[in-house]
Amino acid sequence: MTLFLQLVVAALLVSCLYALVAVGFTMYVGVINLANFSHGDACVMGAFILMPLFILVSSLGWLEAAGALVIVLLFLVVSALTGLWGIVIYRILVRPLLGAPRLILLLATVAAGQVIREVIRVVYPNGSNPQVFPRILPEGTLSLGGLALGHDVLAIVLVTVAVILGLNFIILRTRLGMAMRAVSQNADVAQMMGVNMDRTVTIVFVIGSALAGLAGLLNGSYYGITKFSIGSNLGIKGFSAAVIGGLGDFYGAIIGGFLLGFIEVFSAAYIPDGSSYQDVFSFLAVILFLLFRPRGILGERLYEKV
Amino acid sequence: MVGGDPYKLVIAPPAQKPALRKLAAVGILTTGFLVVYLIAVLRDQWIVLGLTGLAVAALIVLDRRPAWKWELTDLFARERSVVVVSAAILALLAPLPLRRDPYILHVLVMVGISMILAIGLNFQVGSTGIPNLGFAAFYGVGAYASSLLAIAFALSFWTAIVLAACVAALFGFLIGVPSLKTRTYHLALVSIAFGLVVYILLNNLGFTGGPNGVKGIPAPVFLGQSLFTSVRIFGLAYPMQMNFYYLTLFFLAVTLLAAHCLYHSKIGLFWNAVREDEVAARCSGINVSTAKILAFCVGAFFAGIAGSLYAHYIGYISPENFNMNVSLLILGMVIMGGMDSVLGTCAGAFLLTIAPEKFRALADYRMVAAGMIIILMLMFRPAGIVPRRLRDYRHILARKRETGAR
Repeated sequence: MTLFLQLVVAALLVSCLYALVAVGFTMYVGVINLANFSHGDACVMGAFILMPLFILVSSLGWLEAAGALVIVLLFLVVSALTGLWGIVIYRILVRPLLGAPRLILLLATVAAGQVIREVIRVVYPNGSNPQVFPRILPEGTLSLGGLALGHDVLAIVLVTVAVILGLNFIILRTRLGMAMRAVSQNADVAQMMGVNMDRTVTIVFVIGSALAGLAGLLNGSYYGITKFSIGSNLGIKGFSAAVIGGLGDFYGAIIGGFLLGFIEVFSAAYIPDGSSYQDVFSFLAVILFLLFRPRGILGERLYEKV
Repeated sequence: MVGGDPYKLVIAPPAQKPALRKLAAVGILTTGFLVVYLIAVLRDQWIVLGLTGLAVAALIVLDRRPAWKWELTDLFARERSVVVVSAAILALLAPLPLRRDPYILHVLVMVGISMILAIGLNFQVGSTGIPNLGFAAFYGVGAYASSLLAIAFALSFWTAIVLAACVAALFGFLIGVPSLKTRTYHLALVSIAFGLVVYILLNNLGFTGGPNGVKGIPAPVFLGQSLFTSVRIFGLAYPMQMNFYYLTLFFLAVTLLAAHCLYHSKIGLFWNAVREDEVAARCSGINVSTAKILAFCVGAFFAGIAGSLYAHYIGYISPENFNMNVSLLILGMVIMGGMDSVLGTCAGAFLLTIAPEKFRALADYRMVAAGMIIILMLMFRPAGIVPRRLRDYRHILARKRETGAR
């Protein structure tokens, strides 16, 4: 029973990481129908931006002075920087190609992800090898009747919940969120009603990339290690989660992330030799979903217009 | 001649001096071939860059002068037999001066394998519009099937390559069936997932040797002679890479022939129709499912051939040879060269295989450069280096009119 609960905790954690990536991914699809295949690599970029910043901050001795505050600031700075990257990728890559066939745009984002990945590998010192990620989350464990809850796990879950609630607020209660929903429903009509589409989509990219950076940070700090190449895998997991939930659906992405996390952790634990094949199980789940429920859990049934 | 309507050139009657036309066709072909050959063979980076610039300039000039381009394509179309025969002769003669240069020969073999791969992917991405981001999986399946079968059952290379291609085609079928329900993003996801699953399985299954791969893959035997031994022609010893040059050339020729026939068959037309508009294709009586599955199978079949060639040439394979980066690289070849253009696809395969070998100093940046090239191509020339031509049936009509056939 304890093992089971411990697995649930582990699955919750993995789910949170996936859900964060998936929410970012699904936002692009929801608003401008773009599958951004460089999303996972933006996550890794966040992690790799943090490492030199952390070294700088600790060499200045700020960590001893005000540890928690500095860490929070670091999180904000990294998210802001990856958010800026979102503007870059939208202005340089996506906007000029919005009129092109979707296949072209998709391939362009795949190539963009490859460029990010390889630039990290070449530019970062010793970048081909896995990097030790600084421990920035609170350490120690909380014991609940035999169940060990790491403080880092709690922190990650709390951050995820806070971010999702915040996003939910933005989408449902602000003018910006209304503009996003309007553009997602019908871009032309939204523009006619006075929505500044360019600005709205730019902000979507900022939010999406910032989320990616945050997810990369949490991912790296939980595993204590990161590598230039994990981005494609992370991005594909986020994509899979978004598809399971219903591509383009905000809540679907969260549910999908949790489903994927639980499938992965439990198949690794209960199927013999499952840990080598855990990705196989999650991809099989995705393919099954695509076969039998291609619109995802929350996706509505759409009929194609001819 | 007629500047405004390039089509007129195609329908125009043949020029009066057939011998001169044949000579011109062979001359242009040989010049082009020489440029490409020198790019492949020379080691001086600056000369190679200069020659590449020259080739690009020629392409740009042709782009700016559609009339010249039409004249050229018309010339090549009319003198097709002469052109094909002289191209074959040039390709057969090409390795002879490279007796002391096994490295260049090795690069040429790899170019040939890449071309087969890129043409295979082109059936899917180019002709049918299937975004396949896991093509290396078929390549890997072919390589593993061929080498494992050859080792376990002591099969000859010739049996193994056919079986490997069929096994790869079977995998194409297996992934093609679930893909029928999906489109665009979902299809891309299925293909990525498939590529990763194959990669993980190759890494973890017992009989594939795991991360260590397969060693000691037997050499192909031709006329009782192992292709790993050097050959003597007219008393001169040639390195063993030359055997593989001709082997690869043979399979490349088969692939090109198949691509040509498929393009000009109804299947090629169906594929293009599916790419342009699935609903309209279905309304025109095309079985979209069959067309798509066929694209998967045919593409995978040639990937299997390429994989088998690679395995028996290098003698050692590991899962790392078939990872996601390889898929992206092959995709880059197709995009850069020109989707649904066999000539362009070959050009893309040639350039992306040659470039890292020529610019060794920049080898670390090859994936960055490949990604940047793909982005730049997609933004500024999405049709590729050699864009596909419109399907044009007027010359057939014209020929019918000439011969009086109905």
